[in-house]
Amino acid sequence: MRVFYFLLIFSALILAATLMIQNFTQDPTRQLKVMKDMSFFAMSIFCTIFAIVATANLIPKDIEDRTLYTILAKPVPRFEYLFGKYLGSMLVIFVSVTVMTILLSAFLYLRQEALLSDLQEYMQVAEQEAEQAPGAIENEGLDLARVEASSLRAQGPSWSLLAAVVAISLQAMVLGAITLCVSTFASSGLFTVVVAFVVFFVGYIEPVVVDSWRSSTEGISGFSNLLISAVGVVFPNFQSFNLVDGIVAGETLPSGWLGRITGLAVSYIAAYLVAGYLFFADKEL
Amino acid sequence: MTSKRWLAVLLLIVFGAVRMPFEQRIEAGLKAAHFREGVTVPDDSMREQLGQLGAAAALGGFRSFLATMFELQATTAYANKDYEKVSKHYLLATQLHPREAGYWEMAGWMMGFNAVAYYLGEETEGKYSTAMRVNLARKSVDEALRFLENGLRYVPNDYGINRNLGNLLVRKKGDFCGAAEAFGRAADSMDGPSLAQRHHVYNLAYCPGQEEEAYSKLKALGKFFKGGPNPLPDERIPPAFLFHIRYFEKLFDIPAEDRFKSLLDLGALYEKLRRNFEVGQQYEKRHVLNMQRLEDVLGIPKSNRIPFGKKSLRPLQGGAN
Repeated sequence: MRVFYFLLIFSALILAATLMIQNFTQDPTRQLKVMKDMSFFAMSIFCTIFAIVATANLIPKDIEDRTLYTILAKPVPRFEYLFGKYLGSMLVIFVSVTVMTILLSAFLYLRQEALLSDLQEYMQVAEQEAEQAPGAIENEGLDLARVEASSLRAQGPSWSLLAAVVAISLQAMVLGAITLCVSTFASSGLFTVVVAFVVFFVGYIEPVVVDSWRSSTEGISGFSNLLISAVGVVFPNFQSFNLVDGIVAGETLPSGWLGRITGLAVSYIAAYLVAGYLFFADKEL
Repeated sequence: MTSKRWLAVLLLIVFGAVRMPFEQRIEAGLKAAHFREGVTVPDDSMREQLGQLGAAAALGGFRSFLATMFELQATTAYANKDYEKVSKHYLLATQLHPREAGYWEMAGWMMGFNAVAYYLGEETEGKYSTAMRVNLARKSVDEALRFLENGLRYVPNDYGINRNLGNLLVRKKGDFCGAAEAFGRAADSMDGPSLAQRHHVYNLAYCPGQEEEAYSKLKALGKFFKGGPNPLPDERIPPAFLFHIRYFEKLFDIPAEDRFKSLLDLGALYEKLRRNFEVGQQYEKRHVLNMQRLEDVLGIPKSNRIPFGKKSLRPLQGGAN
């Protein structure tokens, strides 16, 4: 039910972004970009928070409600229980992301069509004016309109937008698996939430800091290098799933890269679920 | 800790070691595809402006969103005519999202034209001395140039950045060669004929040492006007094109039969334009040069020409004031 409220907020946010941005800029391409930025921001926030908070409370809540004992008293292997809980949580994310993607694509398409139709009208008037003006086979207004029309088409709903949505979802699924793994040995739900958020931020920031450190002119000593590698081994690299910024800027993801990133996410999920099971298998209930 | 727990820890460590080279390859591929432009540890000044939360958000995959927020703030600052803030916010937006051409283009336009119009306009009269207003305007133009030139490092073929750079160089710097290059790049980024192509040729026509290239491109433009299924009638031939091509035909002593055919009366055009010129008024360098070129083409004697002097140029026209 709370997810449903969030989806309502999400729709209101896109609508508000659409209306608000018209007061700020007349540039049609920027209007669509702001819509995408705000929607992806909301989508990322929702997926991250939901993946952590909802997954962190799965086991503690079942223990508190004593449901866990009822389930495990039946012939249900612990891995199945764990995997089932994970899948249930991810299903909610999947359904929400699908709804958000449909909403975003619909809003984007409608706005894009409206803007393109305005541009078309403008071009017709400019062409008529050009026919009467001296030497105006080419015309500044028409140049701008042509450039605008092509960038407007690039900013509408596209397969690359879907790649960004997939990347956000994969990141949430990895984060969910890590959170579930932590919750199998954590003493409280709050501890799990805090650890998961720390892992998320370190996992995002560490690769950038290391990259900038390694490319600095001073270089780094052997010991520091070892330390950095150790941090890299322990913490997941969430930058690998960061495609949204590039896609919103119109970059093209090389073919096959989404497959590689999906493969990486699947291996993360498998590793953390198996590790979670190993922790959970020995948990005294 | 039991053996299963040790096994879990070992599994995560082995997985961490195995995945790292794969992740490094993904990172290198994304960098090569420009997905990592602007992803860097913010320097002190940027961190100060972003705040700790903003800096974390910038690193945490929200650069595009933050850049949009800064652009909105720049737009608000523009509405309040606070151009220092406009520049500051656009600087952050461009640093966060350098492959987004629109930020560079708008920053260049805001600082190169809007800020200059504000500093040299009536609103700042009495508020600052004339020298200070010109100085502020000159600084704004330099800032705009920095924005546009830096933008070209990330998106070299963008129409908007090149067009704004061309306009800025010719209108605020009097740099015709630089403007010709910028308009040339803008024209190359478009399919088919464009006004940017015409601007490229007109600016090239004032670029010393490029006379032959300019004449050859003017001839090509002439073929475009007169050729094709719908040739332009004489009255629709752009006057600027005509006096430029006439100038080079005269310069290179082109035989009459090879000259561009047009019955358009440049003398009448000159008389019409001359009526608008007033002694004591200031003009852009390109307008002064256009009039002088028309006078050259028409062979108007020196005594009858418009008496342009150094003071006839507006501020910021290539250091002529």
